[in-house]
Amino acid sequence: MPNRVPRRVGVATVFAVVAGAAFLGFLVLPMLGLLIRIPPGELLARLKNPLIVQALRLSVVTSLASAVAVFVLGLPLAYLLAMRAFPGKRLLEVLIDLPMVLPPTVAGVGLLLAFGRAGLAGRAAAAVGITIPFTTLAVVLAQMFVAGPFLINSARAGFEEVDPAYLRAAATLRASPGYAFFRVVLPMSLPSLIGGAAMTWARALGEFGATITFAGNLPGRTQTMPLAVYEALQSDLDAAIALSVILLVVSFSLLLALRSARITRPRVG
Amino acid sequence: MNGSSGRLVVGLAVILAVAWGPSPAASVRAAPASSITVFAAASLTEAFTVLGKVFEERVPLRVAFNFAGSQQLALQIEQGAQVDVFASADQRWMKYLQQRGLTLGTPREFARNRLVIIIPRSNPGKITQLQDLARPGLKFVIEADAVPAGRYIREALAKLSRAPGYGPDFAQRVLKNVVSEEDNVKAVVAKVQLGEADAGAVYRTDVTQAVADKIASIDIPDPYNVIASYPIAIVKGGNTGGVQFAAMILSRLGQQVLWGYNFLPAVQR
Amino acid sequence: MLAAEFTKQLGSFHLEASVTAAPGSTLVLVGESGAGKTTILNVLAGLIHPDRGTIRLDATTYFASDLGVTVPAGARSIGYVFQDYALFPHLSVFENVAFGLRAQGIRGPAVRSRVRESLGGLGILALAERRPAGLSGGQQQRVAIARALVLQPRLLLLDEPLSALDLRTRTEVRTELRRLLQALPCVTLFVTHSPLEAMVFGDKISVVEQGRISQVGTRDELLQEPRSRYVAELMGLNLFQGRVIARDSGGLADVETGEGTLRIVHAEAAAEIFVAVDPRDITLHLVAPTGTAQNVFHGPIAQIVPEPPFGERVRVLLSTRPPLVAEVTAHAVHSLGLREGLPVYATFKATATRAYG
Repeated sequence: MPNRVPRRVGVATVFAVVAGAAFLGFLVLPMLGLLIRIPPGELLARLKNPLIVQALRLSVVTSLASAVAVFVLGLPLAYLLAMRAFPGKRLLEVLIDLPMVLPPTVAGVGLLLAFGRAGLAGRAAAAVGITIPFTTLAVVLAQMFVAGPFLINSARAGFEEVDPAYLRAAATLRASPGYAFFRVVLPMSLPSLIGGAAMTWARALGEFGATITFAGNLPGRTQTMPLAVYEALQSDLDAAIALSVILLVVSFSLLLALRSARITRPRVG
Repeated sequence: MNGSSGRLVVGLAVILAVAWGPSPAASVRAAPASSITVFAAASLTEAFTVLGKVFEERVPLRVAFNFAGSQQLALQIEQGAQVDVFASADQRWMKYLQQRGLTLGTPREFARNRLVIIIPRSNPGKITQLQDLARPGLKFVIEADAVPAGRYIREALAKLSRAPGYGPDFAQRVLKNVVSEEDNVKAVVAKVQLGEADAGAVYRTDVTQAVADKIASIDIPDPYNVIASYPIAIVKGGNTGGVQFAAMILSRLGQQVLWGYNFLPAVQR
Repeated sequence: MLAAEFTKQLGSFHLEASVTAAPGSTLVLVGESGAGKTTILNVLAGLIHPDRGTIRLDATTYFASDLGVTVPAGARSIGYVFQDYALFPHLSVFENVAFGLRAQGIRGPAVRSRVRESLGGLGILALAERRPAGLSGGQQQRVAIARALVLQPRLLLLDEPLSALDLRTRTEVRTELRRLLQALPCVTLFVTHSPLEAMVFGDKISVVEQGRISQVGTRDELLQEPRSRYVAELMGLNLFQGRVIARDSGGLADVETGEGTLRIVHAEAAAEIFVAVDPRDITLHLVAPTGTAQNVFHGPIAQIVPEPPFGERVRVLLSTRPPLVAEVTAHAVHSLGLREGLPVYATFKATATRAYG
C-alpha cells in the first residue's frame, strides 16, 4: 500500500472555493429565476408578437451598429494613447473613462444638451433639418457613448502589449506606420480587440437609461429590448419576464459565439 | 492585542450589535413604526410633498414618498413593497390592487385632474391651436398606454375626433406624431421643457411654478377633456400612521392644498 | 561606402561616434553592454535621429543636421538583424521574409521568386510554411538574415546575432555566418561584446567605450598597438601608459607608469608612450629568479582563470605593481603549485615589450 501523504487543504483554498461558489450562485440565480418562470412554448408564442420582433431586431441592429462605429472611430484614439505621450494625456484618459462611471440617465441628459434640438451641436444640425433625438440614430449614439470607453481601453491595452521591437523591425522593413499598424499591431492584438468588442457590444445591447432619456421610447423606432421589458414591467409582469428571457438567450448565444471564435494570441518561440 | 482578549472584544461587539442593531423584519410591523411609506402618482409630487411636511409637524411620524407612474407603483405593491398608502391617478390601477385583495377598506376619491397640452415657450412647432397637433412632422410626446395619463390622452383624442372641426381621423393623425411614450408625466414635462418635443400631454397640475417660465399650455375644451379621478387607499399590511395620512389628505386642509395646486375637488365628499 | 559622424544625447548618456566602412567589408563594433553599440546601429538605421552630424551611404545622404535632412528608417536601404530576431509570430517564415517586399508594394510572382531565392541561399527553403515559434535558434537567425537580405540592402546591420544562440550552435554558426558575410557586396556592421567574435568577423574593428570610439583598426593593428586598457584587455594584452624617465646608451629605457617602473626597449624620442606586454612572455617563479630578464615584479596571485574552451592555457592575474596578467599552461600551474594568494615573481624581458607613441 503506497504511503499517501495527506494533503492539507489550506484556509485560503477553502475560502476561495466557498466564495467562488457563492458568487457564481449569486450570478446564476437571477438568470435561473427568469428561465424557470416561462415554459418554452409560451416563449416561442411570444416571439411571434410583432412588437417583440421589432424590439429584438432594433436591439440587435443598433447594438451591432454602435459596436462597429466605436471600433472604427475608437481604434485610432486607442492607438494614439498606446503609442505616444503628449501633454494632457492623463486628462484625455479620464475623459474617456467618464462615460463608464456616469449614471446612464445622466449621460442621456448630457446627450440631449449636446445633440438635442437646442443643444450645443444639435442646433447646427437642426438648422439643416436634422434632428437627432427620438430617432434610431439617437439610440446608436446613446449606446456608443456608454459603451465606447470599453473598446478604447481594451484596444489600448492590446496595443500596448505588442512589443515595440516588432514595430522597429517593421520600420526597418520599409513599412509605413499605417502598414505596420494593419499588418503587425492589429493582427497581434486581435484577441484583446475581440474581447473588447464583445464587452462593448454587450454593454450596448443592455443600454437603457441613456436611451430612454435621449432617444425616447417608441416601438419600432427607439424601443429596444431593455425599454420594451421596462414598459412591459409596468403592465404585465409575465410579458416582461418572457422578454427578459428572450434577451437573455440572444445575449448568451452571441457572447458564446464570440468567445468560441476567439483567436489565440500568436506566441514567439 | 493578543489572541484571547481579541476574541473577547469581538464577542462583545457581536452581542452588542445583535442587542441594539436593527431587528429582523418580523417585528417591524407589530411595533409602533416611526415612519410611513406613501406611493403616489407622479402628478401629486408637489402637492403631496408639502402635505407630507405638514403631516410630519402634526404627527410624530416621518413620511417617505415614492412618486412614479401609478402603473409602476401598483406593480411594485403587488410584488410586495412595504407600503402604507397608495394614491393613484386613475381608478384602473386602484381596482387592480383591490381585486388582488391588497387594499383595506374602500378607496376614496380625493382629487380630480384635467389634461392639458403643453408646448415649449419658444414654440418650435408653431402650435396655436389643438388642431395643429395633427400637422405631419410634429414631435408629440405622451405617456405609455399603461400610465393613467396615457390612457386619458388617448381617450381625449378619440373624443376630439368626434368633435366638429377636427375630422374623424384626428386621433389617428395625432398619434402618428408621437415620438416617444414616457412612463410618467414628469418625463413628458422634462422633454417639453428641454425644447426637444414640440408638444406634450400632461395634467393641468403639472404646469407648476417651477416650469411655468419654460412651458406654455393649451387647454382642451371641457366637453372633450377627460376628468381624471384620483383615489386613495390604505395598503394591506400598512400601519395606523397610514390611516392618519389618508385622513389628512381627505380633510379640509388636504383638499385646500390640492386646490391650491390646481387639482379639481373630489366629487364625493 | 558608409561615412557617418554624429553625436546623440540620451538622458545622461552622451554618444559621439565616427563610423566609416567600405562595401563588401564587415566592420565590427565591440564593447561592453551599455557602451552605445546598439545605439550606433539604431542611429544608422534611422530608428533614432542624432542631435548633430552626417550620415551618408554612397551618394545618398540619410542625415545632415546642417542641411536639415532626415531620411526615415523606411526609406533607407538597410537590413537589420535584431538581437532576438523580432520575427513576426503571426506570420509564416515565408511571409516574414516577404514582409519588406510587400511593404513596398511589390506583389505576386516577383515576391515569390525573391523570397524563395533568399530562403534557398540560407538553406531554409523547407521551412517556408512554418511559424517562427516552432523553429530552433539557429533557424530563426537564418530567417532573420534572409528577411533582411531579401531587400538587397546597401547597409546590413547585425545586433549581436549570435548571442541568442546556445554555445554549441554558436560555434557551428560562426564559421558559416562569416562566410556568408564575406560574400556580401553591401557594407556590413556587426555589433558584439565578444572579443573573439570581433576578431573572427571584423575586417575592421571599432572599439566602443562609454559612448566613444576609442580605437578603430584591423585586428592586427589592435593587437600591435592597443590604445586603451579596455582594448588591450580585449586583445588579451597587458597595457601600460607612462613617461620615459631614463634612457641608457644600450637602447633600454625606464618608463614610470604611476603603478611601477618598466624596463623597455625604446628607440624613439617620444616621452609619453604606451607599453604592451604579451601575457605569454611573462614567466612565473616561486623564488627570486636569477635570469637576465630586466623586469622583475613580486606580488600575490589575485586570480587564476582557465581559458576556454579546454583550460589548457591559464591566465594568472597578479596583484603586482603594476598589475600583470600572465599566461601559462595548466601543467605549469600544477607543477608550480600556483594558487590564489601565493606570492610569486613575475619576469619578462625588455625585448618582450612593445612601445609606441
